[in-house]
Amino acid sequence: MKMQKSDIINILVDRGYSVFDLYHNQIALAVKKENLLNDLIFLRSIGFEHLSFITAVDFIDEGEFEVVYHIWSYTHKIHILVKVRVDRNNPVVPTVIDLWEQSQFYEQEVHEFFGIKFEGNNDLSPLFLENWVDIPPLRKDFDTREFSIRLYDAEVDGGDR
Amino acid sequence: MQELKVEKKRSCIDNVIDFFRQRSIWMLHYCTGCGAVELPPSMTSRWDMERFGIGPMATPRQADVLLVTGYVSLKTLKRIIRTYEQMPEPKWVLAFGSCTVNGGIYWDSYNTITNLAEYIPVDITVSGCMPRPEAVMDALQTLMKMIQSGEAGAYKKYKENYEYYKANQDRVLKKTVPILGQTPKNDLEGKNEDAKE
Repeated sequence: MKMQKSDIINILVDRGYSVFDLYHNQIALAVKKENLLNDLIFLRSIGFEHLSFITAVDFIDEGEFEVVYHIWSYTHKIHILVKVRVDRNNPVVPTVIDLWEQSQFYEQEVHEFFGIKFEGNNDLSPLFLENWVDIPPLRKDFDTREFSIRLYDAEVDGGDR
Repeated sequence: MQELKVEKKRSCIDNVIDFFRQRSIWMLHYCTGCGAVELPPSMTSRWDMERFGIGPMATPRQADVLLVTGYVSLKTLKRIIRTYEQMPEPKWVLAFGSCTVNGGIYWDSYNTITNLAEYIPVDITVSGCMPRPEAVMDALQTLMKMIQSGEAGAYKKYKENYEYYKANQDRVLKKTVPILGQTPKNDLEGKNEDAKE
């Protein structure tokens, strides 16, 4: 049965989540790492059965990574962003591979570009980068300009070539 | 790196062979980056490249000219080198757009190279982002003139300076130490100087 967005927000607020109303069909949800799997199972049970994407944000000033799970409901036509904060020095998140099989690739990608470990996922081999020996490239402390200058002889403002 | 010697005296038979070579350039249809969209209008009825004898070819074994049409990521560079080495001589390379000259808008990206000429020899470059089909046609006609006059011989440079190109290719493709962090900057520059000699 299709629910309105306000009804869904009420259900989530009643369960004690902090909910952010973003757009006409999008809401965000901040959860704790310990409860992540339970929260995702609950969302799945009320109709949010499709995992679209997993991504991460590097909050370097706060010393935390934010892992974002994009979850879509075909019945309610609502997009939920489930955000979980983890410590930047020990970034470990439980895997959701048992809930959604396709998360295998998303977790590999997030691990490759941010260095976040997914506990329980046994195959976190690189997907895109070949022969990468530096720190993960999408972290904020990775200086891509300096990297390009040192490795590819890049010249600032185009050089005189 | 040694400069390419252009032979001043060319025999009559060279002139004849080059005349036919420049009138039947087959270009390998290998598209990197965004420049490939300029090739369909160049090839079809609006600009009609084929009136100069230039046509697309699907395999590197039968192609004469390699168009590198845009930014080159590290994975693409590996494939470009394999493709280039498979092509039979004489072969020419046309670098397309500003990304292959100095990196263009991707110059500070962590996985796109900035200067293609460090890794394979380039005969002619077309600047612009993107170059219009007129510029492509102009570059190909310049290449035809260069073939006739014997100037377009960058593939000889690849054989003569193979160590230089190989060292540059290995430097970006076979990294073993982190570029940022432990490795001091002087170390890398020293390696580069050795390779150039």
